[in-house]
Amino acid sequence: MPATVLHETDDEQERRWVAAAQGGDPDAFRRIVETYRDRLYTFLLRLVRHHEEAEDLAQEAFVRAWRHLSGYDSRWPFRAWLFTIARNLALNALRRPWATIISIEAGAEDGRNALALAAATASPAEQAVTGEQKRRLGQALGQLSVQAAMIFTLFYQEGMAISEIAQTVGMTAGAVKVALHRARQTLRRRLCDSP
Amino acid sequence: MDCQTARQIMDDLLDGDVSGPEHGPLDEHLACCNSCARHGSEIRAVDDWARHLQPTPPSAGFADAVMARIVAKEPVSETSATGIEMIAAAVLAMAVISAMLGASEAVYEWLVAAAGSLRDVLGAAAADLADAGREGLTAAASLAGPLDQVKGYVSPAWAMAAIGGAALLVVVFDLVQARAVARKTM
Repeated sequence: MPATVLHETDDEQERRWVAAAQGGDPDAFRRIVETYRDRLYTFLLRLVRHHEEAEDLAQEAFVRAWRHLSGYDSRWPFRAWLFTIARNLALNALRRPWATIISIEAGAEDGRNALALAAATASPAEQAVTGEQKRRLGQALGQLSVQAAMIFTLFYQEGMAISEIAQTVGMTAGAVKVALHRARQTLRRRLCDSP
Repeated sequence: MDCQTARQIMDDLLDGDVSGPEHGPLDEHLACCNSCARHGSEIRAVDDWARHLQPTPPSAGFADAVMARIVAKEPVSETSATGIEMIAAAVLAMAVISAMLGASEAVYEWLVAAAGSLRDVLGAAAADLADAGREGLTAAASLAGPLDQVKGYVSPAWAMAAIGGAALLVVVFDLVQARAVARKTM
């Protein structure tokens, strides 16, 4: 079966892949991995701020998803379920006192993680922000709290609605909105900083 | 409309909340409040920037690595974790007992290696528990250096017992965390 990745997840197609994977079809699960790998990895990278750790956690999230697929309730969005697994793994990793994870401060100091976090990647469509401002925003994104980075990424990268984010991160919709507003304010202030 | 309300409405609009009040009063406020107009422009620039961020791909071969793990480790039953816990507990018990007897560092190194090898030998459900045991023992081993320096003041048996106890606490802590996460992800 050729490995074709859809650029936008087709809900119906995804439901078929999930159902097939629940029946033990590894090819169907591979489609799911290929659909979500970049986004899940980026989500984790913004939380743990360490490439290798993020990649290990992303692998582990997919393996656990495969193992626990029988427990997935298809009435809920698969994406929210998958990102909840990843979130729990990241928070668990961040709690380990001996974790080999770069601190937020260390990551922000050299700016190298910030660039990766932002994937620095602004697309050509984005013209309103200058190169220097992009660099500062990328750094600021790397300095957000874990919770704020998580919510910000789910909102902007995944395009999740506030209610879906609330379900994924285990918070109320009101608390999600407050965290998102604060994250925007933090980034806005950095946008306006003098170089 | 005051500035605080205007800024709250702008944030709500960016959140996709279109159920709020009409935009008319907000537009009127922005027309006469330079501070809020500038704020709105800046926050929209941040919003535009964030919406165009692209995800970063992991290293090449990521999907292959995931699938290799899946093929190698078929789904395991939840009950197998109980067996792994017993093995992990046995390793820990050996660590504590040998610590009480003042065993050498070589024994500890062997225990660390044995705990690590659990990951290869046992099923996928055991990975966390094996990791917990290996990390706990590694952490305990790292304490051996500092404790060695005070061995003139503390008997070796008690020092090693302290290491074993520390390892036990660390591993129990991690096991509880691993189980909590497993429950949440179910």
